[in-house]
Amino acid sequence: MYNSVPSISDIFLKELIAEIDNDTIRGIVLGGSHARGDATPYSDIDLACFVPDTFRPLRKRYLYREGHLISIGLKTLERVKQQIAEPYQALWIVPSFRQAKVLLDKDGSVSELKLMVEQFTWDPLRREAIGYAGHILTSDAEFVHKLSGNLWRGNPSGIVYSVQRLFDGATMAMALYYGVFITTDNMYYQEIESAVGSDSTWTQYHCLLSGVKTIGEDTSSLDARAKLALRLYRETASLLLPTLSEQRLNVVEHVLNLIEQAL
Amino acid sequence: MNFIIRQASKDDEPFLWEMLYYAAHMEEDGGVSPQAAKKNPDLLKYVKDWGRETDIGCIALEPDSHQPIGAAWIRLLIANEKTTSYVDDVTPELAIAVLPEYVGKGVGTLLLKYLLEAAKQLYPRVVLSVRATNPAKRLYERMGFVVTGKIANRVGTESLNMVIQLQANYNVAI
Repeated sequence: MYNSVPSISDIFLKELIAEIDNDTIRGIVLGGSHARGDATPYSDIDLACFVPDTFRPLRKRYLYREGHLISIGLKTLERVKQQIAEPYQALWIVPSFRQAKVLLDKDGSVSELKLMVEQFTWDPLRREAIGYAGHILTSDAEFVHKLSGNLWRGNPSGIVYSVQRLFDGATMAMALYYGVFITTDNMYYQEIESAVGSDSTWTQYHCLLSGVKTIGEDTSSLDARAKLALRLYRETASLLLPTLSEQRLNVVEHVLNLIEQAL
Repeated sequence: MNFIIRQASKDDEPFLWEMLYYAAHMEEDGGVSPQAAKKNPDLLKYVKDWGRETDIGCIALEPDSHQPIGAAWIRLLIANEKTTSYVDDVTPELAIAVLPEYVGKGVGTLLLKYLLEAAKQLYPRVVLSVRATNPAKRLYERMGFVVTGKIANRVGTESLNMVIQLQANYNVAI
């Protein structure tokens, strides 16, 4: 695709497949940057092996071969089908399967699954996704309170943890609200920021909190980061308010009042 | 109190036996010692050979002494270990208990939060059974469990099966 550095050879891949294949495996796909063709010299080789639906545990394992880090995930057809039907997981799994290359497919089921993913559409999940975004916003009430409590108590590690959780929650909620398909985790924040709007206030706070942007005033102190997290929550809430059920709205409005007092 | 939660390891098996005694309400049923669970064929499969690759558990510690005071764990009970709560071969069953003197202090909620977060990585759902009269049912409902059926339990009274569907909130890409 682009001037990708070390494309891996077919021989290397064949040897790798021969090494990891066994009777339990129904198929193997290559995902990640090597499937997309934008690998760096440091990129790992992402493989997913398909095993029978009842196989457990589905833990990843790792190898080093010829200087490459190889990550081998285990997947089942059933689990991937479930993930496609759940909004947040679909945002990750759908693009990653669309980019993937089938390396081994003993009974045709992996290619069939890939076809199913190609035909996936977001619309049927949209309503549930927006509901889930509202759920995240509401449950992050807990972290606004935790953050306030840790500020009050002067507990730095508690502040850092709550700020991080609020950052992750705001990011996830916007991914769901806008239905942002994540092509790679390297682009996760950027893709969501551009969906919300590059010039939006939300994106401004998100960039300052992640640290990719700085401004004249100090945004790296704990106190400044805590305030940024609260402002990011407020922006996320302002986008989601019209979608909230009465019960959630009640919680979020209380939290917004608490934020107003803290800022 | 700020209870500490840590992952359960193989070495926690003796403590899990003790917790199983409370999880199964053996004291109410005339069980004499925490070791009684080890001899009960319906119960011992919940803990025996703890530390299988598919087991996940966490332990609550008293903040000052670091003594274990509660535990929650899940295990796949399939094939010849199936229970009356069996759903399918990928749904583990949950057990949870807190030492009597620490009940009602939020330890169970903490344990469940940690355990379910970890369970998401491996399992699509988790099942548990709870006696119909047990007030902990409310806690399970708050965490997202829903009643899926009624069963007659080990001692002949009514228990409920409850299932929670887990949604992974992390990157599930290849």
